[in-house]
Amino acid sequence: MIDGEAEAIANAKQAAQASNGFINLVRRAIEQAWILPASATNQLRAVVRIQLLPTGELVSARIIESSGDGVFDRSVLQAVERAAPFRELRELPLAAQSQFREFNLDFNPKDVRR
Amino acid sequence: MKRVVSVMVGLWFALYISLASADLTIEITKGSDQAIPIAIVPFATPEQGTLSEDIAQIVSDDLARSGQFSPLSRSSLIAQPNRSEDVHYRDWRAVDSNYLVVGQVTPEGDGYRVQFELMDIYGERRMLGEVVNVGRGQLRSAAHYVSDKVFEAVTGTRGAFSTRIAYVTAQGAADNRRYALHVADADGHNSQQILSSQQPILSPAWAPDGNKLAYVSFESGRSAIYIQDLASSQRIQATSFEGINGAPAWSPDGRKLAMSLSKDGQPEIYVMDIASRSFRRLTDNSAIDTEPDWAPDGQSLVYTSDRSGGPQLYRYNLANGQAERITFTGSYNSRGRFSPDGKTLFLVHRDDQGFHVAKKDLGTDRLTILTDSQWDESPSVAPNGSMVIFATQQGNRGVLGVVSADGNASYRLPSAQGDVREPAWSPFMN
Repeated sequence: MIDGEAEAIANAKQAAQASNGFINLVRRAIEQAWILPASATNQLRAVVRIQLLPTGELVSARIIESSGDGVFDRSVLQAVERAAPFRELRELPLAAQSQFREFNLDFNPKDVRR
Repeated sequence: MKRVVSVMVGLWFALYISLASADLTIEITKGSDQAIPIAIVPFATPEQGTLSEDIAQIVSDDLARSGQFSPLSRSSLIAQPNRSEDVHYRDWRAVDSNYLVVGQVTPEGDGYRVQFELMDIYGERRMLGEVVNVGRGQLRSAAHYVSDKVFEAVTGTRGAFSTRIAYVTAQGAADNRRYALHVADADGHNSQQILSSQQPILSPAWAPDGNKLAYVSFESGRSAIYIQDLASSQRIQATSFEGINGAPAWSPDGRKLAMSLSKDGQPEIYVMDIASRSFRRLTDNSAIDTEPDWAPDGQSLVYTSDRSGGPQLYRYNLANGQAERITFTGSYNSRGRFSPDGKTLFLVHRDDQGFHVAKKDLGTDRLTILTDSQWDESPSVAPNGSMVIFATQQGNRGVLGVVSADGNASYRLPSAQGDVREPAWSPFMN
């Protein structure tokens, strides 16, 4: 029983760590690709839903919560497109891959001066 | 031990489940402040002969100078389409360009037909498609028009590339000095001299309609404020009081001029009604009060006063006649100029490195230095608030510099010989 639990822990932990690694990778790639509009303020926020193929290629990216600012919304979609594909998805344990076939990106700038 | 293990399995499992649920959300809180990559393909031109101006190059230069764009070099353009139908978006993704501008110029009548289109590469969408007809000598204007439209479509802020600047030049040795007032395109091209004198010319100021300039000229042997119509060159003398007649500033409705006059003793701020030539005196003290500028809503003015011992900015409320000091950082702040939205003041600030253009956020009171040269003066703001032109020194010569309102980009305007000073950025012209 202890053995079974230890294995379950190891697997779950490995999956969680791999997932966290992938999340950080996506976050960094998108932050690098996101050219903040000069008019952006920290009041603006947009949520994008993205779908990936098992290969990490982008199937779709669409705004599910608009900032109300066309320039800002376009900049976040461009950021996702520029950062894609996310080929590292293939390196995740199978159990962890499925959760990243579809997920949300919450663009919520906190470091703008205005 | 076993209980601890069970709790840990539970924790990892809970985390795993929360990640596995369909609503995984990754928060993006940082972006990069790099310039926007844009490809501008040389415009197709008539088969016979070449055009006097390279429109794509002018657009590219305009956008690059704004600091907000990073146009691709011509050698990295991987295709040369001239119409959106011929654009393969995938090609332009490969060179990491967010936007693409294509176009063509064809002769029409006495001039040209300029057609241009803007594409969002990642959105795979045409954002703009327009045709402009211009006269034979107006290709530069057409190019600035393209820049304005592209800038606005991408950034959401109106472009100011079709605006103009006024400035004063001084040439020749001290005993044979020649002063001239010029008007040029915002990029420094197409300069025209509109006044020349052996006595100093100072403080040109654009009327809000962009058709007239007020300025100070010493041509009569003492200072006087003139208003000159640019199309007809006709002018009137607005004031010629004994002492100082200085620093004219138009009210937003174009009916009044604020100015500094010393007719009653010390230089004080007055407002002149241009039609009736009546005056209202705003300040009354033993200090120097000068360099007024109107808030965009016309309800208040900012001006420089040394009543505290050194120059500082004060804001005068026209409704209640009260003035309050608004700069407290450092011992020298002068020549305040409002941003078009009235939320920021651009000014000259002195620190231990010299005189710089700075901005003061009127909401947070934060003062930010924008330029790092030593002798920067006379800031004047572009009508879209994105750039500030100022006078500075290069070697021992006066030249004009431009800095973006966030301080991230700056450039010098090319100039002829002599000293260039006293720049004034025009309002929108159309």
